[in-house]
Amino acid sequence: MGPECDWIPELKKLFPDARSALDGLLRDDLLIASGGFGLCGIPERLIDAVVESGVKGLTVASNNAGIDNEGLGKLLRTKQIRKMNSSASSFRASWKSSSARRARWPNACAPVARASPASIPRPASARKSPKVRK
Amino acid sequence: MKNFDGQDYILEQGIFADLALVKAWKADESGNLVFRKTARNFNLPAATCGKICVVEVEEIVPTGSLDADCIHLPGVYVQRMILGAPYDKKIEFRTVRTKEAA
Repeated sequence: MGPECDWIPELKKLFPDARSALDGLLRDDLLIASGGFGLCGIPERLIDAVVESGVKGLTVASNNAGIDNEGLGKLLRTKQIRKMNSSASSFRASWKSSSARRARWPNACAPVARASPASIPRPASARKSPKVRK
Repeated sequence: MKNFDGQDYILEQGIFADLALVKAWKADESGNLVFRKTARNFNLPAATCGKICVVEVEEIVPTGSLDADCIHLPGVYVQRMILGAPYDKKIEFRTVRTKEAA
């Protein structure tokens, strides 16, 4: 590796800041997948740049939607997210302030593995009445 | 609904994102990524399901200086990246128990 690879334009991946890195990629009604879990391993700078860009009607697929003023919660606050696909729902206040629709996956399924057996148990919180064992 | 060996399974379409946003710990100039501990979580599936993957990292090192065997996400998945440092970690705190006086 080294100088002999420099002529390949695809290798020039580094951009000076988040706004320029997302330049030309953002438009309304995109489906965006975001990494991270809560506040751990979230793309903060890029989310900030999406907020700044003002694109609307986004569908976001992520494990959860951050918290009120951090992570994807920022995008919920500004109502840029139309639909949120996540397996863990986040703090209520972000949802109250946004008009986003929720599509909730059972916690047992990670976003990658959607081919799940029909018999997969629903999360305890989704069951109507908890079974009481005596 | 699909049947495998007499058992019905729900088969859903996978997620194909227009754009994937990912946070990594270290990257080399070719976009090979290394994540740090639990911050690896859903960054890998997010990166691989996006048509375009934009990554922010804490440190960028020259290509070849990361051990090839330790790369979590090959650079072929990464189209664009930025250096996001410095980070103010909102959730990672080191807490230790206070030592009792002898």
